[in-house]
Amino acid sequence: MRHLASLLQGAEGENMLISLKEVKRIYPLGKTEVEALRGVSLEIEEGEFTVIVGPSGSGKTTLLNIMGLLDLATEGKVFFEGNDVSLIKDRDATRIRRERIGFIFQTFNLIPVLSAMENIEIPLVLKGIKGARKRKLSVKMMEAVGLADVIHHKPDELSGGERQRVAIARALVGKPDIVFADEPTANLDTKTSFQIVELVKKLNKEKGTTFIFSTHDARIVKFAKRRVDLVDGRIKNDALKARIS
Amino acid sequence: MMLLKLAFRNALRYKRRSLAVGLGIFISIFSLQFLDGIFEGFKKSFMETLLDREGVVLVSPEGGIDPFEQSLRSVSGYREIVSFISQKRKDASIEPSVEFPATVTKDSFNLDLFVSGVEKDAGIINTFKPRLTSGREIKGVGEGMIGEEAAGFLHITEGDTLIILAQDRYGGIGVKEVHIVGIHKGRNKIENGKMLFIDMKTAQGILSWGSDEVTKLKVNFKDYDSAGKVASEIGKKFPHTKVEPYKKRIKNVDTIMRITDIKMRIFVAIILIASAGIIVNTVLTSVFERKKEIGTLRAIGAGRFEMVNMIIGEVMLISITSIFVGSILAGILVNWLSVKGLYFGAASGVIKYIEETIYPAIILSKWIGNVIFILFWTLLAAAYPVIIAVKMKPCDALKR
Repeated sequence: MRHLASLLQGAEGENMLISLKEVKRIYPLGKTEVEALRGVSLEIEEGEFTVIVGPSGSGKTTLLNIMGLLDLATEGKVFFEGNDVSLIKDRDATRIRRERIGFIFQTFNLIPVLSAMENIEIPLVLKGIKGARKRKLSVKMMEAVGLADVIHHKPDELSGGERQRVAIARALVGKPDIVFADEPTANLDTKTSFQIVELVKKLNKEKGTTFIFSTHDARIVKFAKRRVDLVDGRIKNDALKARIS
Repeated sequence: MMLLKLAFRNALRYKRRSLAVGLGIFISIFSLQFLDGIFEGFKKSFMETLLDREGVVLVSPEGGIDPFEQSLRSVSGYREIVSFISQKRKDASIEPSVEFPATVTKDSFNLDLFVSGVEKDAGIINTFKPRLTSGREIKGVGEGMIGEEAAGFLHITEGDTLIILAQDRYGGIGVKEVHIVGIHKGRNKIENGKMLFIDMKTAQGILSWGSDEVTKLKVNFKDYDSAGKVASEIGKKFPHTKVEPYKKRIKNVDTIMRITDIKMRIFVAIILIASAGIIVNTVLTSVFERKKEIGTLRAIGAGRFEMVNMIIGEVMLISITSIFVGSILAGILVNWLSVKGLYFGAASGVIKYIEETIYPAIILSKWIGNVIFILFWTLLAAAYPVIIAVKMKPCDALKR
């Protein structure tokens, strides 16, 4: 199901999953412009657990959006598996997101009218997986995140932690190569945040999925293999940690 | 299937919004089906009355019937024409009549009426038989039938005698007495308040016409399509007459029909535009309220096509339900009115071929056409919000 080879050309940073070269993102704001990213260069390897840390307005979400193909850079180059996706078409970006990328959001973003199980099934449905296989994969994923007994609950019947677990399960059920999480613990209490971090760490270790988090949460930062500090749209510090949790 | 499920549940979750869209569609389909039903009844009544009164083919004096000089213009030798038509068309029913304006008096009450002299076994008399509110139909010379309203004006009851005064063919005043044997309730205001039926011989006598002279010959047969051919044959054989098939006379009828149709369409168009406004606004609000949901679905791999499917699916679910309910309710109402009748009194006073009570009718092909049209209309109305939704960049949709 990997169609990228046919749609992508070029071969920079071939060993990298994602590579950014001097990426800028400028938003028009009335008659002025806001530079959310001011020339970011970054490379993400497969299996990495990276955190992007920075104050509010530093460009963390914009950076995740560009890496996650939800937005296009105004300037600079973006590569996915060494292939230039800087000007990728919406249709192709959708296909890559569907096949290769998972997202976890701060506010969980579960579909309120669907049950926990149905929320998890959405990526599978979009990938064309049907029937028993779909059910088996989603049940397995629910079990992996410890939610086997709430599969029929609607999001408003779940606690914050359970909702985020469903969101994590939804992000991982399609077996993506990379998962982007935008401040996933910001709306959770300390205990739940800890459980979520532990869960993500376990999944990263067991499945080898690449995780990129944007966060303020010191606990996530502690567990990450790599920390990227972003200030005013620029990378201030990019450190690969020696200790791997 | 999942997106359809999502559309269905969203429609149920946002009940007020779904109700607003549903109501807009319901009003559109209901008014369209109902007005179409009335229009069909109107058309049917119009055609039936027209053919009943003037026939499939109408033979009149050369130059047509002049309402101001009716006593001067006649079709003479009408029996010869009747015999010719009877030979050509065995199934034809031919009704001669003598028609003219007259002043009718009883004691000190006067009224200007339109007098129609007919044969005692004429079809028109049979038409009025079930409409008699008192007395009986015309059976002999010097007998007359009058509408309820005209009878009221003249203070006539069954058995009274009327004096009819009209200009005869020599410019003098023709006078005859007529014995009222029946009072009827006409199909419309004209038949009720402005018409007097008498026997043909008395009518000819008032105008000083011979017994072979009539104002017109109404020819009816079932095969409407051959009306032109029959009219042409009669015209050739009797060149001093004016012979018109119904289609030629219907030109005016057609215009009236078209005007009525246009008026109804304008009314329906206003309703449709209003309902489209409701649909556009409500669906657009829904799209903006569910920006995050759209953004999330796009982020996890739903394409523009899936978004179109989801929103259109939701609108279509509401639409199909509303169309079903609206069509059924309009159908029940039209069906009930097709038995009960719909009073159309005011219009029947203006348009002479309209019955006072019309009976709406359901035409299945039109019914289905309206359903398809409203479905299409709903799709069209939902198109703008859908375009807005699919053009939304996932990152913009996800913004808090």
